[in-house]
Amino acid sequence: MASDLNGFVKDAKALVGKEVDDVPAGTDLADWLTIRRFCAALGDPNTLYKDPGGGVATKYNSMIAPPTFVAAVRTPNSGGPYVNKQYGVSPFLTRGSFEWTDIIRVGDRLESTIKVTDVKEAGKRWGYESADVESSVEYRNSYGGLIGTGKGVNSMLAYERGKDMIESRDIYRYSDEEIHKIENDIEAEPEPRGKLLRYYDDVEVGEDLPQLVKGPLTLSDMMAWVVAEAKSLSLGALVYNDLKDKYPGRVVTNPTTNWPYWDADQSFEDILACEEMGFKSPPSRGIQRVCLAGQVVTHWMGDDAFLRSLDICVPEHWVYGDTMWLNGKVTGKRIEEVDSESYFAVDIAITGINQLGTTIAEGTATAYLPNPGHTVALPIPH
Amino acid sequence: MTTQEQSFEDAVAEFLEKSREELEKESGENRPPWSPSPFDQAGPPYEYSQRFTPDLVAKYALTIGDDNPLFTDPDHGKGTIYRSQVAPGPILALVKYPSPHGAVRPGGYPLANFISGAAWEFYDGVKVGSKFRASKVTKEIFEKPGSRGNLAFMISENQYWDYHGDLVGKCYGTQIYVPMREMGNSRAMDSSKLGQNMLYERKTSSYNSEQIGDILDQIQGLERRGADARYWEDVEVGEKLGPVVLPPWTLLDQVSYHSVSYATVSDQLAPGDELAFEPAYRRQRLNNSAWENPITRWKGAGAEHEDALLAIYRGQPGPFDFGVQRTQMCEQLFTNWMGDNGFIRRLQIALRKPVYYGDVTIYTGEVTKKFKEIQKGDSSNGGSPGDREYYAVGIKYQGVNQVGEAQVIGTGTVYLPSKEAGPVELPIPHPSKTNFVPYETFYRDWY
Repeated sequence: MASDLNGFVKDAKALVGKEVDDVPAGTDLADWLTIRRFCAALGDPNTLYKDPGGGVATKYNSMIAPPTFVAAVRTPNSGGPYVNKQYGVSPFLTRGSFEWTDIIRVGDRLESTIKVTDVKEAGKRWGYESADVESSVEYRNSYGGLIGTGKGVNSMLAYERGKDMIESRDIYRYSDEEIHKIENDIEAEPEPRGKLLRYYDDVEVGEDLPQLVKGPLTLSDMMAWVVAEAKSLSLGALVYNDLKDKYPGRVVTNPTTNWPYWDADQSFEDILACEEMGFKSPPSRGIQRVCLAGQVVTHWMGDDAFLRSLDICVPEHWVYGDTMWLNGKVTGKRIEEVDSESYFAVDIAITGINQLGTTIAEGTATAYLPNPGHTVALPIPH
Repeated sequence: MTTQEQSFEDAVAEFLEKSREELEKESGENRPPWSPSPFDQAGPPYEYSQRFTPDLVAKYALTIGDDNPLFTDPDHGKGTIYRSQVAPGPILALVKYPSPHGAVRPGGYPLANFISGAAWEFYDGVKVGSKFRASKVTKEIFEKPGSRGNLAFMISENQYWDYHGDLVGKCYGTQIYVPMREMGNSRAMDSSKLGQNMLYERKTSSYNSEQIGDILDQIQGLERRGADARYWEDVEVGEKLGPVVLPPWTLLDQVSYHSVSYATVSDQLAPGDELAFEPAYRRQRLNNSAWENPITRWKGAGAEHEDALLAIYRGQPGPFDFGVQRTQMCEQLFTNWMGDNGFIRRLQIALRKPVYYGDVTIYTGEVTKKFKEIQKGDSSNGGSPGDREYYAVGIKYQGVNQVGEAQVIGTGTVYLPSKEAGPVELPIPHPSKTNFVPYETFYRDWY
């Protein structure tokens, strides 16, 4: 259908400052299995997030969840009024950021609320007129303690679904040499830093963080992420009922079966339907890359450090078969005063480059590291 | 003998020989996630990792397409024979996969395997808050001639106890193994042989407006009995059940099942949580079980069921469903019909043609028998005492796709409330040691 971007923007602006319900909550409990599923979707082997017995011996006196686990509580990607009616626009998360004030312990009950915080015309993206919907999620534990906040930018593209192509690149075919390089790079990844302290004094500006290799992206990787988001998933006629009653804006036609009550959100991951959303090979969800970027830092910083913030843009698509090399570099060191507390902060630049040399993730992170005589005091005053 | 030297015939023979060595032994499958994890590694019976909380039960019901408030509403069940929210009985398939998978080795054996059935006995409702431990023992292995040579059938007996020690259900699961010469001597087929000898050939269906209208009419016409008791005396042989319609099958339908099953159990060769990226890569390499993607050429985690590019490794023309998920979806045909106060005592599911991406399944059934039966039990450990008569109906059902192929056939026995005898009393009396029901008994007309 023809796009009504102006109508969408007008309706979206009316939601600014309001709580919205287009993004269902994921889990409300940081139980062992949900944490494991989340880590599994990132390929994160860190025992800090796995070993309940070992966790008791850490400074947290508990196994904890990775900081990006908040994405399993609720993803910060509201599309505003997009689900309510057919505007002829399609959402792609293009930026995700988090700021944390505390850890999540296994067993914590968690709550979240999401609001639309800004809506603006954003010009052309990938050749199509677009508008950005920014939303913000606040994450708290059931005692009222603030875990952190998340922000996301959903780029709403005005293009004719099922007709126009956003990414016409075929699934990538690797040479023997390229495959050997990926294998070698995976084998070269070090284990997570773990209990071994990384002091602020040990770190130098310009220092590289260990590279992580994600891919070639498989359907298994993408399905694991959908599960990691921990949202309730219905089957069969229940999907039809949901679309009809709650999400009429997401109703499209499956290009393979011609079924007219296809959920546009399902075209991610689906090689038989992704053409409908303008792709020759299935695209992954942008928030997965944001959380993978977080692993670059937690892998490097050690158990006693704290990921304070993460801000990642995903300017291009990561599609089935693509490989992403994630790298980090220390760009700055500083003492950060937060109320009465001092933190030894290290700023890090993160990039994710695919096999074609295209940047598909880039942004920054800040980690608070311990230093001799100084542990990272939690929660961060706020 | 190394797999490099072994012939296809010898590999199949080794598989059968080593699988037969597992007869009457506890299966190594579906154990708790490996340490470090919080779960007891000792058994049998083995601890299952998930507790059936109200949230999980509701979530599970949606993943099998059933939003019956008996399963999704914590308050609704309080007025029923269960006196609480309950889960559909086949949720126990999460606890222990119904059927056995025979011998394993790195690289696997050159046979394509498919779950072909599950036959359940239930003794009580699966109540919210419960947690389970289970046992799986291989009981039968036999061969039957098929178009591709002898098919191997493996039957297990699964028992599911809650942490009060009560036996809530049992399952006799069937796994079929199809020898695949194209695989050579391992489970990972050389990509040059893909497509040489497919098990099925059928393109994905596309629907016209008339067909779509019919499907929508049937979805909207769904009837659910609910709290309105269906008395045994009011039921007549020949009475129809359904339809329950599943619209065109999708990838998300498969992922929905993963959302309640991923990382909950280990398998014999891996801890259970290596689902993606580097850990999945290392697992595939360690077990020498990677499939080469025919386009990317990467040997990674294989989603043979869900991935349109990898299904061909299983001799399938496109994405195909998980049989174990299918074995759990027909229960709603029964619960919708019998109402909140009926009880599924036995449920046999025989899987036929796979459900492919885009397939529609229409479940219908018919009452074929009315009878009364007496159940006796004892108070020994794990038993449930009593000597009680139940008012039963036998039901035959099927799930048929849009081209008329049976995807599921089976039978069930339902206990209904009686005007003369009152409500169905639970738990069903049973001894601590129940008898194994063999394949020849349950696979046809098992009431």
